[in-house]
Amino acid sequence: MYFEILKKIRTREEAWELLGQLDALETGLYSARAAVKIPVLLQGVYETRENKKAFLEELKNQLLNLAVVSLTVALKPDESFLAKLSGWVKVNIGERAVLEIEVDAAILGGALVSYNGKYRDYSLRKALKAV
Amino acid sequence: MPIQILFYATVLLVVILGVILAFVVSSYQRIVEKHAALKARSKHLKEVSGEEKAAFAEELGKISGEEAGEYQEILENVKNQARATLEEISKSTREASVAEVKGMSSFFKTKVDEEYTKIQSELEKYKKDRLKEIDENKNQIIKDMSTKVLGEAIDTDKHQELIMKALEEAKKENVL
Repeated sequence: MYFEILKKIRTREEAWELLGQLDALETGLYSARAAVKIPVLLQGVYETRENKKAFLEELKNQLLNLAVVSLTVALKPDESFLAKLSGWVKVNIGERAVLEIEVDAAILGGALVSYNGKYRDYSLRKALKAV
Repeated sequence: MPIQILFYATVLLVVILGVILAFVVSSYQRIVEKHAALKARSKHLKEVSGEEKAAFAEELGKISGEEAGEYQEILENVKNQARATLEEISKSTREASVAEVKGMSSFFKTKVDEEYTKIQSELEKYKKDRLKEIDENKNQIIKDMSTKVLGEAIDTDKHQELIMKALEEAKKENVL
């Protein structure tokens, strides 16, 4: 159930956005005001949960513990390339893996990769320096 | 004969003289009476004139007093009217001036706001254009650099290929 939601999250930014929406939803549980809009990713799942509070707490916990792959690239990836990158990390690392992308034109091309405390420079700048 | 004629002539003359005398006496009497009457009348007139004069003076004083009062009142009215008119003019002028100033102020405020909005939108456009230009330049610089170093320009596909290659490398080296 959580897996189905988490595999749709591509970046850390999207995870933080969902966390904000979950907070609002949780606050709405204790409020007499109009119901908070259910996030698209939760639609069809959240409504059927009996213990909504426990569901939200667990989902938040899982979102805070996602595997984050940091990439520094020269050009900002478009939507289709972002989907491709996300697909790659989910296949090769796990469905709970998400991307954190930073753009730095100075690297000229390629990427700086950082994950789980490990870092490598696969940039064009480094390759050119080595020549 | 001549003496008779002379006698008769003398008698006739005497008669004529007597008639003349009687006429003169009568005339004198009439004149004296007329004079007395005139004198009395003149005296009466003098007395009457004095009384009338006093009455006239009194009347005149009264009339003068009334008229002076009326004139004073008219003057006062005219003065009040003039003051009221001047105040009205002053008030309307002031109101018109205030309205004019307000109008001008509002006009200038609108103008300043319009100018501000215009400048702001121009600045936004300039900023956008410059950022676009910088982005284009940045891409161009990268292209130029890679062209210089590699002998070919790197397009988007090549960039994506290099990134995917980097990920594959990272996997091979157990970074991922």
